[in-house]
Order: sequence, then C-alpha cells, then structure tokens
Amino acid sequence: MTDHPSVDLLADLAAGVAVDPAVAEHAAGCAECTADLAALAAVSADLAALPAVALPTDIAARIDAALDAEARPSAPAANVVPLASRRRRVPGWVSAAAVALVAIGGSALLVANGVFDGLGSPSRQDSHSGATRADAPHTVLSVSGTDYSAQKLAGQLTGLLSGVEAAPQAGVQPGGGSGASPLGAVAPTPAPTAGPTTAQDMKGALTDATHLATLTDPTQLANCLARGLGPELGNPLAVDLARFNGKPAVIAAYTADGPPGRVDVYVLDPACPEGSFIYWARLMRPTPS
Amino acid sequence: MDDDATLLRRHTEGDPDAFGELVLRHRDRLWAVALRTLGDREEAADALQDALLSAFRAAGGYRGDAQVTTWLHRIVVNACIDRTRRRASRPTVPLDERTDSVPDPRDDTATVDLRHELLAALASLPVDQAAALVLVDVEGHSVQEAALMLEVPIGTVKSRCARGRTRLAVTLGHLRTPRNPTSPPAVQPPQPADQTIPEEEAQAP
Repeated sequence: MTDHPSVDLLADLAAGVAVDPAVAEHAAGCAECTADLAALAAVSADLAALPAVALPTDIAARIDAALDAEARPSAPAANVVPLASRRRRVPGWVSAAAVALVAIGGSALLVANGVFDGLGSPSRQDSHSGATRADAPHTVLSVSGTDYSAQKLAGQLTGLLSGVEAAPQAGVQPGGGSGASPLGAVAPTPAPTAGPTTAQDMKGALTDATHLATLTDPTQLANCLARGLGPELGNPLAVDLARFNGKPAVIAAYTADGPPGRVDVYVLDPACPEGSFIYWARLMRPTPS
Repeated sequence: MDDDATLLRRHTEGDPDAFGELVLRHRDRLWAVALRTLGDREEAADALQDALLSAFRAAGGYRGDAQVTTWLHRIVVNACIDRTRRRASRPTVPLDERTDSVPDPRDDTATVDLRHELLAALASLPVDQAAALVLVDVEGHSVQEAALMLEVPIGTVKSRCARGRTRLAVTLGHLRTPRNPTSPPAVQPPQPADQTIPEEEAQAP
C-alpha cells in the first residue's frame, strides 16, 4: 500500500474491526499513520478521563417524585416536560373575580373579591364569562404549615388543592385540620356566616418568615408569582405559603396545559427572585373520592 | 444486601421500596450515560426520567437474560435516542435554560477548555456513535457489554466507536495531517450559543 489509509480505516484497525491486512502492515511502518493512531488513542484516553458526574439533587428529586406518583394508584404518572414547554401562553394572568384566602392552619377562610383586578386584568365580568378558560377563577391561598418536598409532593397535592373546588362559596370555616387533609375536609360553610378574616390576621402565623408574611397581600403575591414565573401563567388554582424541604417557600398550583386533569406545581423562594423558581413538577390532579 | 435481580423481583412483587433502592444504586452512572450522550442537562433529565418510568412499568418483562444494569442501560440509551429524534425537529433549548457548568477549581483553564471542547464535540456526534463512545470509552464498558446495551452486534459497536473517534479526532484537531477521513466531514458547525456543555453538574438550587 503506497497511499496512506484513511483515518476511518485506521480507526477501524484500532477498534478491532476487520480491515485489509495491508492497512495494518502499512500503518506499522508509517510514522504519519502511527501518529494518527496515537491521536485516536488519545481521544479514547480523553474520554476516559472525563470526571464522573453525580445525578444533581434537583433532578433526583424530580425523578423521585415521578416514580412516587407512578407508584400511587390514585395518582398516575407525573409527567415532567422540558422547561421550554412549561410556559403557558395565557395572555394576562390576572383574570380572577375573587381570591379566596384560606388560612387552613389558622382556622379561617378569607374571600377577597377582585383583589387581582388591579394588575391590568380583564374585568370581573370577563372572568365570570370565561369559565372555560385555563385560568383558575379563584385562587385558594393557604398558610398550612406543610413542609413540602419533591418526594412527597404527589401525596401533598390533595391538601394543596383542598379548598379549590369550594372556593366560589367560601366563607369562614372553623377548624380545618392540616394542609394535607384530603379533598373535602375543608369544605366551607356557606358564606358569609361570619365575617372574613383579614390578610393582616394571616400574617400572625408567618412571623418567622418575613417574605412569606408580605405575600399574604394578594397584590404582593401576584407580583411575586409574575416575577418568578413570568406573567403568562394565568391564575394559580391554589397557593400555599408554606415550606419546601424545611425552608419557607411559596407553593403554587396551576392548571397544566394539555390533557385535562393535570396540574403544574411550582415552588418559589418567598423573596421572589426574577425568573426563578426552586422546583417544578407536573402531576395528576387528585380526583375527589 | 439484595442483588439487583432480587430488588427487581421484589419490585414486581409489590415491594414499594425495592425499585427506589435499585435506582439509588445505579442512577449516577445512568445519569452520566444520558448526560454525556445528549450533552444537554434538561434533555438528559427528561430522558432519564422517561427511562426509569419505563423500567418501573416494564420490570415484569425483565427476563433475566442480561444483567439488570445492562437492562437499565439499554432503556436509558433507547430513551436518549428517542429524545434525539424528537430534538431534531424542534429548536434548541433557550439560552437561559442551558446548564451552567461548575469548573473544578483544581483544573487549570486549559484543562477546562479542552474538556468543554471534548464534551461539545461528543454531543455533536450522531447519537448512535455518541452512545457507543460513552459506554465504551467514557464509562469503560467492554464492547461486548455495550453491544448488549445497544442491542447491536459487537462489530457494530466497534465500528460506531471507530467512526466517533475519527470525528472527535478531526474536530479537536488531534490528527497530525488533515486527510480524507472517508466518512462525511467530522467537523460540525460551531456550537450554538445555547448548546449545553455539561460539566460537573451544577448543584441543585
């Protein structure tokens, strides 16, 4: 063989692929081909020297949540989609007619009509007529004290959404149990048998979490969610000013795009950094028993 | 400690902890395969999740004709290939969603640059070549093991590795003489700005 073999042939030779014996014969006596064989070996060596990687904790948590959801007969598989497709395109996220503030741990529900309207939302009439929109007509805000985690989120979803169905007629509900109570456990009595508590009252339960306390103001909360998640997500179904992995956090559940019955749960830092959230999962919405 | 096959059997028998234990045992290596093959943190996370959910559901179909790790790798590689096919028809991930690499402070700049270049070149390979190289060169599996994981003949693994190494050598400028590689030019277009270059993974926020 007078011409140099191609690099592919040399690579085949090095990889143990059967090649014409003349290739090996040539390469053995050719400095240039020997150098190229060394370069190919160096590629393998470089690849072998890549540092080991460990599964990042946020991805591990997300996968654990999905497997956990898969294991629950009542909560079919969590379906996590790439970030790029997470943002919904619902123009004007503020279309609520009412925001029901549910202080579950604090034994009270607060209905604050139209509190999100000041952010350039459609009129209250618009939102009433838009019952089929993806936006939640009411946002249920709770201060449950629940410590959420990725692993338990699928199971905690029932508690998070426990006031959602009842929000339109929400009134004061004494007691109410924990935020993880099953759907219906916080069924409100018809309003208004007692006057609603004020946002100020809710702050009492949040004295250890300054940022969270400010978010009992619906306008502040709306701004926080818009800042962290972008303005196009629409109204959340429910928000819990609670904890995530032991730290104060905003847990917000939204109706997910796509097939019905799914919710997107976002976890945000109560300081509401721009364009940032701590965790996200798409889960099947628990069905009322 | 139960072996992998026992854990998988316990899972199929309804043990709620068995699959998690199995995943915990192997997830770092499975993650490495997905990350290195796809070169994109989010894609790799989705692929790994798809794969593990598939494995969770399909555990009853595991016939014991391969090691459990081989079976798991096979599912992860298939998920990566599926992802790549889907990725081909959609735009790349936005800039703000790329993986931020965390350089090892012990590495000098040149080392980090070379590693980035290598990872970018690896991620630019056709997925079948990337997967073969990741399994054989990066993860150190034998060609025989890789053939079982990829479900292709041993000769095909060797050939894919050879093609991949050639492309990497050309892309990285390792070859002393730039001559005909016979296969299509290995040099890929410059990496788009949003191409993820996975490095030591960023820690969870």
